[in-house]
Amino acid sequence: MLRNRVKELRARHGFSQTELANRVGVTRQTIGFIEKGEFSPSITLSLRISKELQIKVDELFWLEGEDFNE
Amino acid sequence: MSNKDFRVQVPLWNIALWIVLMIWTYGVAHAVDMIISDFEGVYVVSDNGLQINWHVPGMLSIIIGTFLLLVFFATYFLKIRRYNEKNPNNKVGTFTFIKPGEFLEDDEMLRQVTESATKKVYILYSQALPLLIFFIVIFPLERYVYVVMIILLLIVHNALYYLEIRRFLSGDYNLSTKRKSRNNRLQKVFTVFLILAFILAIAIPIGRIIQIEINHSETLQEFEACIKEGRTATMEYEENGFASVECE
Repeated sequence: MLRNRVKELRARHGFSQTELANRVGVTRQTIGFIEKGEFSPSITLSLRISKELQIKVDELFWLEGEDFNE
Repeated sequence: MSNKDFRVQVPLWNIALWIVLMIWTYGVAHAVDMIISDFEGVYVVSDNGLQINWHVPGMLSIIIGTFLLLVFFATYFLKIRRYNEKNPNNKVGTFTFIKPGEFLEDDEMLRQVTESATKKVYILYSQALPLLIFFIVIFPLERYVYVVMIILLLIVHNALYYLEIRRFLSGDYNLSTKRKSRNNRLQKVFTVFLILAFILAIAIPIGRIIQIEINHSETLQEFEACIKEGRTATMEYEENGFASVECE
């Protein structure tokens, strides 16, 4: 399962789910499912999200059981 | 995107159209049947002379069905027009043959949800169509019954599709969820249904043969009894294979 910090970083940037969704070109629901870890985004979408949240992809997404370095 | 989005509601519109068509096809199928195979039944000779045999339920179904179809299409096209005015970058085609309006491919997750919904519809057809063929072969019913069954299948298809998309929009969706227990139950129900269908497929023709056999031996006895009484016996065979004896 893919873990992520999208929710945390989105809140830090003051974006709502809808705002982030509009910025990366997906629906609000998709952002919600990514945050819950129920949907694994493609590399393209992961890069778009990480760009909007100003963070490296491997610091935003990581595999369950592996540590991430903040 | 929400449940109220027109593109999400397209399957519901499809269901409404199929319900209206179910009403309309009753009259049309009856009218076509009369014209093609029972043209003499179109007219009735009565004391007042030659009269047209107005089949009231059939006529009502055509009149009500046509009215509902007109109302449906007027509302549907109005709805499409309004939607396209509000969403110029995401228009819905009035007549789409290749990509149905209900296909939602706005982003990669919606594409997956649409794929999952179409997969379920594919499974539905691959299971239901053989059963439908079996039903048509075994039960010689009026063809409108089969039309209703096909329409019901289309309604289930659209309902299945709509529910899948709605689950995504309401946030209650998990692509990785494997509903094993539910699938197992469905599998069992389907197996039982198949076994019952198989038993029926064997039992009905055998039952029919036995019935005809009994009928023939009985009529033969009646025939002989009639002859012995010194009367004239006439054997009559019906289209369904049964025979009867007329003793004069």
